Amino acid sequence: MRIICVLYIIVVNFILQSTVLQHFRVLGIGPNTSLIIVVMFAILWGKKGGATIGFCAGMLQDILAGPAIGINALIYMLVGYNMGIFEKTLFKDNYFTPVLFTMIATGFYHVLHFMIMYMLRSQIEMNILIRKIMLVEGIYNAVLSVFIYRLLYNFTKHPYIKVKTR
Amino acid sequence: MKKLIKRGAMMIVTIVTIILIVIMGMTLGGRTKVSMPENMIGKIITPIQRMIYSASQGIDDQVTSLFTFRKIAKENENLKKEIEKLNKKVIELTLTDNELNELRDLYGALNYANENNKNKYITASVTGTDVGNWFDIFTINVGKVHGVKKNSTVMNGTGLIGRVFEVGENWAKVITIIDNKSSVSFEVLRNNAYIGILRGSVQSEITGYLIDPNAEILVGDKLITSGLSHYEKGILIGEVKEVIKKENELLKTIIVKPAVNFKKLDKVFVLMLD
Repeated sequence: MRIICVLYIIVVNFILQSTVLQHFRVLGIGPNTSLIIVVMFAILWGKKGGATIGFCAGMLQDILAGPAIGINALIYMLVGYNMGIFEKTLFKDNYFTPVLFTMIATGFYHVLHFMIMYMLRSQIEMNILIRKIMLVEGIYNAVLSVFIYRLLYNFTKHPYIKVKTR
Repeated sequence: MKKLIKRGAMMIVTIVTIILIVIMGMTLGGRTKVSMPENMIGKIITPIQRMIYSASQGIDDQVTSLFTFRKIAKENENLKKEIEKLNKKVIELTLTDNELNELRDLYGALNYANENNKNKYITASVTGTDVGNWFDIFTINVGKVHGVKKNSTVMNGTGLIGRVFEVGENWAKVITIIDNKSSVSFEVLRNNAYIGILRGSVQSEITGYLIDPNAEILVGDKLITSGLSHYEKGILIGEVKEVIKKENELLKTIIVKPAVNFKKLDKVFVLMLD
């Protein structure tokens, strides 16, 4: 039941992100809700859940819109795993946690992406990346993460979804 | 025991990372055929995406036209359609003029089958775009069943869009010319001796250079595909927006404004390869 619900969230999120959210671009930059959802689940359910959900979400994104299979799957998996390490040492009731972690994860995502694309021989300038993409997307993601965190927090408290959380 | 489990998770992540890097290397640059599970996922999700994409596009159009004066918007659209038609005609005529003499000479010597197939195309609808901010890739709702092949040219009424990158059974991925991984060989419409190469970038901007350092290129020159790369010959790419000449560089750099509005794509043509 839990697996089906989470898969459902991932697929619906991908469909909305690739269609509706494309009309809400700010300065040509769209928000990355897949990344936010991976981070939120990692915070709530720990590193194993985070890594698995990250892998699934990234794979879906790679298959339907991506230059090579595995880029996003790898990055989301690592993001989910590394953010999940902090699960046990966090206060989960305030809204500062998701905002901070989403900002960090967005930076982490772009740095890893830059490294992979550098190895795959893409010419991308670092300063354009930081100024034009990372900053705007970080802020955009941080704002959205508050709302998504509230939704997912309530979702994980649902009786048949509930896992042991401290 | 606990330590082992902890290490187990770490091990799995490491192994999956290595596998993914290998897969990445194998699948880079697009494949002519995608694997079975990918095909299944594409088959299920693309129609749903198509529905929501067209619905949201419709709502977006409605909202924007509310803010502008309605009648003017409509008139504008009609005029734009006419301009598109005329633009295409101008390019075709100029091309024919340039080529007619050469072709007449070649006609007897060569079997000119390519010319007859030039207008064979199918229409497709955009189902969804790439979600990240790194690439400009979108999916369309035609695929192998309809005869689409890898590297088929994709265009619409206004100009060149890109090429097919990966083909599923009834869906395909298209990589646009503004993507930082694609490049186009072009020629200047005014004088087809001037050829060069254009490249996309992360910021969805096209820059390029001419191969001949002495070539004269002006702001406002129209560029068309030269037929030397994957793309068919004679499709409008865009206009030169800026010409930059640096002192310590031999070649002139140009910045190009694409003819297609990449933010609002809905119907596209896929040209058929032989």
